Amino acid sequence: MTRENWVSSIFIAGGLLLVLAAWFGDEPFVITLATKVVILALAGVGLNLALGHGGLVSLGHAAFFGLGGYAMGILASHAQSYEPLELGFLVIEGTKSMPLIWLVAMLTSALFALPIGLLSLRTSGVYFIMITLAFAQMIYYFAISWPAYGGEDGLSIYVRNSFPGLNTLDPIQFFLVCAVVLAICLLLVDRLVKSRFGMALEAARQNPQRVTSLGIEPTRIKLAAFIISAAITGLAGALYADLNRFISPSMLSWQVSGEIMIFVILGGVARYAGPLAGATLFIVLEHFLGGMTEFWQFWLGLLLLVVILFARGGIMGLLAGERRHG
Amino acid sequence: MADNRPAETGATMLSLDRLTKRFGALSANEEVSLDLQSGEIHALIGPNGAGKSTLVKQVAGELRPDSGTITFNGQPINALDCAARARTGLGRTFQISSLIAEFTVLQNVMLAVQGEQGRTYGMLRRFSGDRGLTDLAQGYIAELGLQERADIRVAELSHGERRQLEMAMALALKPKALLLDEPLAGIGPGGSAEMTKLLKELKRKVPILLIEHDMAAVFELADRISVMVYGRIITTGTAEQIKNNPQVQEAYLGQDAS
Amino acid sequence: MSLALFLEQVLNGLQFGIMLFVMAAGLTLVFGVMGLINLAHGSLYMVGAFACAAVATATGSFWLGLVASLAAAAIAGVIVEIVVIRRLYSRDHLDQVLATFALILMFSEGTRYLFGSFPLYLDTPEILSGPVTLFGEFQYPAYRLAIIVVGFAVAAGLFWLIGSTRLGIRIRAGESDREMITALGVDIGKLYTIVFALGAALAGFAGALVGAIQSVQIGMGEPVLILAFVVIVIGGIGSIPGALVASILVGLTDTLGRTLLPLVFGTFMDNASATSTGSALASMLIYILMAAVLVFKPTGLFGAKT
Repeated sequence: MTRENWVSSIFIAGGLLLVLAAWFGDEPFVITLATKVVILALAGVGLNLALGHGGLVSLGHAAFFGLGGYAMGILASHAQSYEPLELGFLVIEGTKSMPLIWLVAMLTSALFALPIGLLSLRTSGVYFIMITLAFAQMIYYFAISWPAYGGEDGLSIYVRNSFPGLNTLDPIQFFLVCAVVLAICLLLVDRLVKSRFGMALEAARQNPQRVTSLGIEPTRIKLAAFIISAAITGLAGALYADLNRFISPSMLSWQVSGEIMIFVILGGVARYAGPLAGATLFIVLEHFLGGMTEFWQFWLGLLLLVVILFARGGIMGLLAGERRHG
Repeated sequence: MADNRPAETGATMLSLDRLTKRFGALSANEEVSLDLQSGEIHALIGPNGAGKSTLVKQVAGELRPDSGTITFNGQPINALDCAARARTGLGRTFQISSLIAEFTVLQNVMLAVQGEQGRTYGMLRRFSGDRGLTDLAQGYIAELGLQERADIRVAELSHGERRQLEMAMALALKPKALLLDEPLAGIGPGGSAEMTKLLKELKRKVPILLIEHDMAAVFELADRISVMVYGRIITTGTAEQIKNNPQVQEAYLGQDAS
Repeated sequence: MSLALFLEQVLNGLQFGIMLFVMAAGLTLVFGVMGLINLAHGSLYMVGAFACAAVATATGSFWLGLVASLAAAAIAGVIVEIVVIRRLYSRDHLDQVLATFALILMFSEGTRYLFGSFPLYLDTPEILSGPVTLFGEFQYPAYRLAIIVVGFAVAAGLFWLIGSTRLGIRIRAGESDREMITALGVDIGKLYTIVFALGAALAGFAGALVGAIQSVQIGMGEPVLILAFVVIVIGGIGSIPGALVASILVGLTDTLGRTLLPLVFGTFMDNASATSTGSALASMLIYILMAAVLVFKPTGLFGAKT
């Protein structure tokens, strides 16, 4: 195993042990915190595909996070009020079944990612960054001014959604659901990154001109990666809304876009366990540093600045050295 | 996926008909016509700034001509973009090596093989273990003599090795014609001899439009030579004819010491 | 809708737009000359507003507050440029985004530490607090009118600076060829600091002016920053004329859209639905405008040719 695989494995094992200890020690709060880490890591895994591997600096990924959350919120609220959703001639029954909600969340995010990606990829560099940010902002303002699902105040979902065969209100069981989802996504993304598609994506990031000369369209590859990335982040959004049993436009804000990017960078761009390491660090800082001072985000900013200026590879870069392809 | 129709011998593989490209008042290419027959190396020479790079870009698809047509393997390709042209079998190398810097030599050539085969959207099978890619790639790498360096990253290659890698990637596309932009530039005398030998063998399978400044190599390799000055082709002929052409001597050879 | 109301909204749109221009001009200058995307530009807007509010409250003079806003933002700009920004010029855009995002966090929390979480009080100056009668027809707040005038004056000043002064020449030269002007003996480091400080001062000034009619609070700069991005995308990066056209366009579209759309919907929907649909759509209008521009001109109206 490579050094990176060792570090990733130890990290994951350590995390699981911690949760196990919390379960035995009857500390549901730690389990909930760990669940939050896992979900945010999943959001980061999504962004990492587009950003780390595709070189697409999307400053608007909160759009997909929030869309996934709202997909869940809308379906669940219609289920809990026993009123179906009527879109003209289309009548959609609400649902509180997690697998179904996840599917809808991913499809919704992917569907939005298509036009956003198509338009944004007509540009490059700084334009791309600004445009993805702008589109997320557009959806954010729409959510605030659309009263049907709470508008600015948001929407509460009274009961956690259900997963066949499990009691999802039990913290450890919900944690396991999220952890398994993360694990599956990590495996699939890893597969993807090491496949023909993944290599073409990496090449498109580094040298689009060369890729074109090989008969491969770099923009199409990047669009595919963008859409898949959006779907994964959307799934994380649905889980996040489920964790908090609350969905609000803040999930669509530029701050959230920035935070997701922070996990990915702090953990190590394009690294397998990067988003997980980054999300862990972020939550740990939020919890412990936040306990010491209410201005903890100042220190987070300082840390991020130092990492960008001096330790570019993030946590995984420090621990596992330079990355190798394929 | 490269077009699988075989090229006929004696056929015109590439035909440029009165290509014109102007940038404002500057006429970079003016009514340029030339053709490439199968089995030949047709060299394009000319002083710096003559418009050779502009012509290459027009043929490759990076620039739209203001007027004129490009016909490749019997098909007009004006409407096709770069990637589509590559897929029809028009291969090229770049004047300044354009490689995937973080990849190894092997990975670069495998990517080229992948481009030729299509199936770039394969997401399940591992790239590095794919014998369908590695075996072919190793073959091309061996043809260029880079076997020892297959697992070395591009960043660590010498300049000459990068030119060789460019060539290996061009070959991996199974091109029907090759557009080579100064393949010998900076390659060193040993590598230069090897590359010249390779090009001589190659022309039988793949006709080559060669842009080069190395006059010795041009006279050794080229079946025909076209001379471009100030955006126009002033003459086309064999090496002997060009050497003795007074216009050419005045415009170009007189200034160039090699 | 009466003509007076319509004219009032047009003026509001102009006011919104011209302040956006002042914000966007600094951003596009920094990008055009240094190739740097700066997310902390919104923080400098906030710094200007807070400085104005603090000094105006302490001295009782809005005008001193304005001076303070320019000074504070410019100084903050210089410090940030020397300590952080200049390490980013050679980095890729991702690093610039992240580092300046980090600066946002630091500025926001730092300001919260100094001034607390509640908005600061900043009121318009006495002489401009009343209305002005326009065209003998309707009343319009004098202050807002003053903002429009000042904003266009700043625009004129910028055009003069870029077009007719030595600094302007260096800026334009720097935009096209950095290496060349270094070779010609221009102190690049100093030029960049000056450009950055100029952008910062503009942002701070806009913050102070707008702060008097909206609230002076933490995080006030980021929504404006994002709008400035939209303006730049529509206008074309690096183009000041583009920024002017785009910001007026955005200002008018947004303001008029918010007034007119609910009315339009009101003609065939009930009042409540019309208001909610209208305002929801209005909030998306400028982004739709941006998307439309991008379809036809990916580098903006006045941007570089693709």
